[in-house]
Amino acid sequence: MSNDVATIVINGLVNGCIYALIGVGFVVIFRATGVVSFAQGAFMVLGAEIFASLVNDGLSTGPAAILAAGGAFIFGGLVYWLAFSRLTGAEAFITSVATVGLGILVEAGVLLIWGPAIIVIPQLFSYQVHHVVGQLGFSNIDLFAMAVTVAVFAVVLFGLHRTPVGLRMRAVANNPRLAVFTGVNVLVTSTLAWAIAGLTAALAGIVYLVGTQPDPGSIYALGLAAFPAILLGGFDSIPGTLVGGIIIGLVQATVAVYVGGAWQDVVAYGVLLAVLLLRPQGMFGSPQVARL
Amino acid sequence: MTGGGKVPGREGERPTMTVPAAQGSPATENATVAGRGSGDVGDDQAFWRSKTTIGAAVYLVAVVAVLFGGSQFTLYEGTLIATYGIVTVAQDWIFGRAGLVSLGPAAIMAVGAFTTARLSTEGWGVFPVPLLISFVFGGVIGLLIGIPGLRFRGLYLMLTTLALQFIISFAAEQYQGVNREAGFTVTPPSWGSLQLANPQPLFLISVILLGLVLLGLSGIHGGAPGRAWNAIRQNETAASVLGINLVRWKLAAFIGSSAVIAAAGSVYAYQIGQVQYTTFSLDLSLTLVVMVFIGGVGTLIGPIIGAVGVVLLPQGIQEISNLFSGMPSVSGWLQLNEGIVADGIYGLLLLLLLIFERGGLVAVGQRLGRGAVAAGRLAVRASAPRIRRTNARNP
Amino acid sequence: MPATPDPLAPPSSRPATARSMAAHPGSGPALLEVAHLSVTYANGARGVQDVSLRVGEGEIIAVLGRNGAGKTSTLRGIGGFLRSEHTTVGGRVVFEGRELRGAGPTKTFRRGIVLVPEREKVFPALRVSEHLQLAGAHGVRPSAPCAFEPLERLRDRRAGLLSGGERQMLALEVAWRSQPRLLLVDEASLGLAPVVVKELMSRLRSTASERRTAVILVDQDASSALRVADRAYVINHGQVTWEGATNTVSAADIAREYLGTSR
Repeated sequence: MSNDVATIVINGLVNGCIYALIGVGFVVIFRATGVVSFAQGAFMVLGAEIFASLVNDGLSTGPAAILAAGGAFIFGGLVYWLAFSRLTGAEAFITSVATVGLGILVEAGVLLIWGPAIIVIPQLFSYQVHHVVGQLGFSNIDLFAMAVTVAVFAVVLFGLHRTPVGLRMRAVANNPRLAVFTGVNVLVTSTLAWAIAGLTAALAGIVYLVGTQPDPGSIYALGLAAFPAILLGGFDSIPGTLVGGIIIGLVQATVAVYVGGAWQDVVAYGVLLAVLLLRPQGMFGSPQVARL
Repeated sequence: MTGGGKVPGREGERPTMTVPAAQGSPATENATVAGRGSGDVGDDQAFWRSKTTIGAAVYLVAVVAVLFGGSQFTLYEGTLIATYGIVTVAQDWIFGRAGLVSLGPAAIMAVGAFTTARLSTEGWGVFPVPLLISFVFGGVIGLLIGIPGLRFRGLYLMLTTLALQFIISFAAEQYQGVNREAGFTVTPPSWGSLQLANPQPLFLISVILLGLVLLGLSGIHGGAPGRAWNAIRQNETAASVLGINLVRWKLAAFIGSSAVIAAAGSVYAYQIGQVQYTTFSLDLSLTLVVMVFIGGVGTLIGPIIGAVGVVLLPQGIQEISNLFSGMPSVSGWLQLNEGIVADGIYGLLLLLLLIFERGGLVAVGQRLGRGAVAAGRLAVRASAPRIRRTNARNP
Repeated sequence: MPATPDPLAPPSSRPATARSMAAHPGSGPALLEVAHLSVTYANGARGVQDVSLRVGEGEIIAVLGRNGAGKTSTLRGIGGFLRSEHTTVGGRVVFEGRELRGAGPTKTFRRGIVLVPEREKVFPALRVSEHLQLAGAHGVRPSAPCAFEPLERLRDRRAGLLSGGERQMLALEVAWRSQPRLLLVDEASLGLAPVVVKELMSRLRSTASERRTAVILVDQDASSALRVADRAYVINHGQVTWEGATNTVSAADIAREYLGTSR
């Protein structure tokens, strides 16, 4: 396998995983509460900064990731409980602008606590590369990214379809009004949905951090960069967001290699426009999201 | 107001108080809370006219005060407020009245700014030629956005404009090219041989433009177009059943607001002197959107209050940090992180307003005003019984 | 199961049974007492002006009236409005001796009042068995046999693929499994063929009497509701204009009442 193709596959898959992690939380929030969240980037930064602080203080990768993700989990739940639960019934646009406000607030908080500089962490993974075929080899960091993604999706899908809590979340997602009348505690279910979104976004931030040396601003910007992937997969489809993420990741990697790095984002947004114009519900979205 | 008023742009009650502009302090010239022509459908002709007249009078007073009494810095800030005000008022037009969501005002400003920058150096710099051409280009962009935008409402339209913000920003980056890190220099506006580079003429240009936009919008919002947009915003299907031509009115809103925003971009270019694609980022777009909501969607005064707030807040923080001059660590930290603290406040304010008072600061001001009036009445009544009792004892 | 009168027989020929005599107004403490209920919506419109009614334990009450008369609003006024609906509820709603007015659906559910809403009664994406699982959180095992037998062979079907009658049965089944003391059913017959409605109503009545659950049936279709109800109220323009035992009146009388042309 040539070097170029190998680069495309590796970068595409890893970036795709990051988009998927952002996206799964987004879809969970959207299905449970109908909110289109522009704040996933903020949860990403929060998770990444907490992780970095813990790791720089000597904690090992695993526990640091769990604690950071846990912190974002609690934070996400609190945000819904305190603020967004009071916005039920508001128009979609209003709630989205509210998430913009939330994002600005959290970003400001993060910058005030940790500063705007590039986040530096010690080397956590060896640079050992596991060769698969020809030039195609995945480093430990790549494997970490993919493992986290697979784990998260497995847990979320299992949880949704095989646990009572998941059933309640699906009920709320399917018909929020009826869920209230059937005795489902919608407040608790929705809070849980936001908590999950915070957790997955934090993991996305951590995965991104481990692979690059970003500043808080770039991490935050990724939160919006996931939209093409989410739309391609289908606004309300969890498996779709994984597929969409990987496709966008691969497309961007291809563009980076053959055209130029600066064109990656534009192409992704071009795909977003194309999806909106040609098939708004994306690849796996339900008919309800064909017209939002 | 009953309930939480979940539809943006609907005023629960007509403001009945006019608060005169604060005298003296340069930071509050434009902080007027007057009930200006709001375009509320139920307005009675005479009432509407008097509101606009009061508003116009207040506006003139404020402008004159700044023009002749303000320092260079005040003039600069005033120009910025007016420029942002034009954009936010246009944003309120498109989503507060017509219900069409746009996250890309900065990109449209960029169109106007880049056009002005190039034209001003290429011999077309005679004012107001670049401004007018920017206006036209803005309208064209509005048309291009509007045509696919006709299909979408709310969410998907928002995402479409988000995509366009990135794409236009990228196009600007490419246009600027790798060689021009500093971007394009803007030759100051000139009218024949007259140089308009000073802060005062620039301020004048911006407030005249803002004034024209406000007058124009208060006129059309109060008339048939305003009613058409209002109907479209509330329920498209019902509106089309009523015979409102959706295509025509939606396109009109897109084209009009984009043209105005591009014109604002042109003035902005003159002010900053150097036009780079990085200035017109998503951050600026989101800030402009936030301004409208913080001030109050659905009013003409709201977006301007939002612009005032956002421009003057960092200064406000400076003032607060001076209060802490006894505690150098606090005041130092505040001064150092002025911008970030300001951002945090906007975010928090936006969230709080959306949850508790959708009408924005305008509505908050109205409530406080009504509260003050009620308190005043209570105070008057409290002092009255004593008089009556005395009279009763003397038959 | 005690012998119940044939619910399909015309009301005037139905003998007064011990059950319906016990449900006679004034005979014992009411399960639900509603006094001067009023409902005002966020836009100022009055859904209910002044409605008073009472439901005894195990009674089936029909609330009838024209479209828009205020029947659904009355039911929601009892069963709870969502906070986001911004409605103002006035008057007194006393359930089992405790004040309930203004409580949201979650609270009324916990107190034993279950509302089966007018539209969107099921979760289209969830299977029937999953519906039963949801209801199972409140006591009845999902594997327990369905009170509405036809649902048994539909356990694996997604609710979105069920027919109208099957959906209504599922909605009622889910409601039963929450073991309510009072069931509020809004427009059960809407969009269903008369044959289906007859069957539905008879099953409803037999299950209700079996478990001594009180039911308030709101329906535009007077005849089907009258067949199974013990007492009825007619609501016109947000007010009760007629009330009485169903074995004293025919559907035709009620229809005249709707149109306001009687007496």
